[in-house]
Amino acid sequence: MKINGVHIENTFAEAFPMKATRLIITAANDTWADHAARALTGFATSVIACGCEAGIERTLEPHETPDGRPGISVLLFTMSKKELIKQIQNRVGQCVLTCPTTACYTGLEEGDRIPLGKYLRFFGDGYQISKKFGDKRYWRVPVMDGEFVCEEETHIAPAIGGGNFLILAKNQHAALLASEAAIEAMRRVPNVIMPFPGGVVRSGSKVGSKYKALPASTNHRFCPTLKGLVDNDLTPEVGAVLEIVIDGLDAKSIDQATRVGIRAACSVGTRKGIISISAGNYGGNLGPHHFKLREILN
Amino acid sequence: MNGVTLTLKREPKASIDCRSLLPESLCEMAAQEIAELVLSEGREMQSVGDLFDIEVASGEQHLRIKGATAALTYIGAGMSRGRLIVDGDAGDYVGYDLSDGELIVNGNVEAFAGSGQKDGLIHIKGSAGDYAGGAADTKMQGLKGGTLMISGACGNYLGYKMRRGIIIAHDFVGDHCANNMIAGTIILGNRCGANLGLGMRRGTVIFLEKLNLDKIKQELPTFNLSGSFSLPIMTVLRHHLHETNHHIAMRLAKIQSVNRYCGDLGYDGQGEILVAN
Repeated sequence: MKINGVHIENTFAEAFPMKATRLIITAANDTWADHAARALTGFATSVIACGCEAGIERTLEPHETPDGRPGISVLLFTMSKKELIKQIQNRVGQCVLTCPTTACYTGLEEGDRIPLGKYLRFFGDGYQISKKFGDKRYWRVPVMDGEFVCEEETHIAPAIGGGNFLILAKNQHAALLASEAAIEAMRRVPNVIMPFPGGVVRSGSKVGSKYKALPASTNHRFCPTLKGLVDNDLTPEVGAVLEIVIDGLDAKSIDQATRVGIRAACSVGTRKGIISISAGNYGGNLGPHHFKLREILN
Repeated sequence: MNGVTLTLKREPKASIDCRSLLPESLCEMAAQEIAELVLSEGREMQSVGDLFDIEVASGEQHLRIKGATAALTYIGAGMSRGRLIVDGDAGDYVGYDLSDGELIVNGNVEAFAGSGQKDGLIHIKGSAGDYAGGAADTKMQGLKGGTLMISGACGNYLGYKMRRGIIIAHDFVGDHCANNMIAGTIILGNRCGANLGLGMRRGTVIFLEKLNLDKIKQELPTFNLSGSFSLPIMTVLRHHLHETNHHIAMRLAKIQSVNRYCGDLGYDGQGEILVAN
């Protein structure tokens, strides 16, 4: 199978069940909403060492937010409900509550309830105000620029983490070009995030290491500088590989993101150095979700 | 499930306790079963069939009471679901301890409307007497949740010891509004009488009308002005009310900022009175 001359390998991405939530961050203007969202989703590229994977899903117009101000929706993914609760408390408490003019609301309406502002309210030291409108409770915590409004609870949704595809190119420049095109297209897909810097990861990993302390290590079979040294999955002309990891609230959204991402990457074309598209998996033995590239693209 | 219409046959000789006329039970009963229910009219016991014409029809599932007067007390008391419509006036304790559902009164009501209401919606399209949304008798709390909406004027002690929920009063409100208020939200579309917020512990009173600040200072000696703020929670409230009360939502939309008065300081309270700026 080829798209615009780029070979699509007959393989699949292997993904895992995760827990996720969506938060809506609002502020007096786009800039401060962006500051808070970027802080909250910072250092959240991989659950291996960050505790969670998080990213900005999209920006919201004032009419789309609970308080009529500009907003940003972010998605947080963890391996367990307990860890998600912890990450929300830490990240909202340190990155949103602290950011001028912000407020924080749930972006999901279904699923088990987990605390959002339930414990953050204690920062108010007894001066916090509860407001219950319908089924929702909000906390108004007095802060130095006015009030931090935070919904008491958010919801937890079953999700999928680790959807991915690999862009194999002649050189680093070509791989970057295709990755940037893919990410631009994928950012328009709802319910997904690409948690790595700029949405792209260069340090694709395999499970385990020769060093016992490490749970993961470099995926040497895709490292071009190791060609000739180890058994390798790369053809001689491949000089750089970049990976795009996708976390999503459902398989359909990951399918769509994969589809538009690969098509955008392939649109760069063989002339500019894109050789093939592959995906990372562990032989299908670890993750229950398999995203077969050719099926998705068909 | 049926639609049930009860039409009062005659002027009551004394107050009739209507707490057993609930949509969740009557809409599942046949006309004969309803007719055999017994209500107290003062000291006498009367069957529903003696007091009301009963009409049961399939279709829209609600209970409608036609020709109601202020002698009908406890209408919708303890109601937990469904829809109850009252055409005419109603007596004391309308929607008392109502836990869910929708109760609409197309007329005026007497005292203690919505007292102990826990959820759902009560909409009084006429005026309400004293203690609307207030604690009744020896109860410690008034409104506990849901929305109590009053289109006409209100008597004294609106929201007395209110604990949670929203009261919306479109028209003039009497004295002692929000007296000993524990928490919750009262939205006033017009002015109110003396002693607003006396003994208020927590909770919010929102004035949609702009008021004279000097006059407020005189009328609220135990409330201090915090300043003028643009509060995001006002928009959250507006969005919540958008479907149930579009008119109030539109008025809230026009408020850019509010003057916030804190109190009642005489009672070490942390309540707030927000006045449109």
